[in-house]
Amino acid sequence: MAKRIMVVDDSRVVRAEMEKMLEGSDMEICQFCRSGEEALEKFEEAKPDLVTMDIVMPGMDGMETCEKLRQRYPEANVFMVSSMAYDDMIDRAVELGAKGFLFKPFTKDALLEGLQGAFKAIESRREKE
Amino acid sequence: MDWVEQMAESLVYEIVEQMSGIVLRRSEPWERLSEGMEIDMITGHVSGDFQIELHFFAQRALFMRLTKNMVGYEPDEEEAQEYAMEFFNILCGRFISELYKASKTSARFFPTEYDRTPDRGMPGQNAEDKTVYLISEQQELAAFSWTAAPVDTILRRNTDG
Repeated sequence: MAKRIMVVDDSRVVRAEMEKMLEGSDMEICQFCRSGEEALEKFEEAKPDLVTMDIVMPGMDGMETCEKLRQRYPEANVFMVSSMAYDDMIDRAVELGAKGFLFKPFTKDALLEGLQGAFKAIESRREKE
Repeated sequence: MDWVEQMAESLVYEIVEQMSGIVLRRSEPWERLSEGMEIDMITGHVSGDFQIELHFFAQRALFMRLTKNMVGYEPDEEEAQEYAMEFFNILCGRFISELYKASKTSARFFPTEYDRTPDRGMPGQNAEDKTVYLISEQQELAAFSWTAAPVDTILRRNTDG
């Protein structure tokens, strides 16, 4: 069964690019949200295996959304995808429980490698539990 | 050319080439545009420990080609606008990240506005801005500009210790 990904990004371009890059893989986009607020609303119904989260968005940014999502749904697995690429930002994302960080713009190889790494980390955590 | 200009120029080259395969190089400031040349402008705002405005100007033909190279078909103008804005968001995110690394001063970038008829005029007309001018291998013009003084201030503050 394909792994289900919820994409949170204010740009439809990211969704289109990801859809293209995930073709033929064992991952699929099950939900697309254009804001943090929409992600909080749709998460429960979508029940994704992983959420990819942009940082720069109108309204609630990706960090705040990640924090709120993990408070409300501790089982939520978040993977940050952003051009805001510096150590403090990555450290903060890890503190908030993010399973990985991918820099924009990304290539197909980088996306697949990043997502597969995140799923491995999730599976290994489940095995330990 | 100072560090910020070099960094900005390199980022534009790298991101445009990675996203679309289009190769840009430095050009002279625009003196006069040919009649009918369509220049679009994208604007972004940064606030937090410093406030600046960022602009990317380009011939619409360049944004159309950038999008075409990414999607693999002839895009309409609305689609090209979305791809151009995503490119600009990435550029600004990377630009702010580089400034943060050099100054340890954080700021938040706010999503962008796209303007087909820039009433602000052409790049370089605002004396507060610093601008890098670029041209593609197909002679399409582009320029990236930002409010210079706040950037210089945060970098100087860090250097002065």
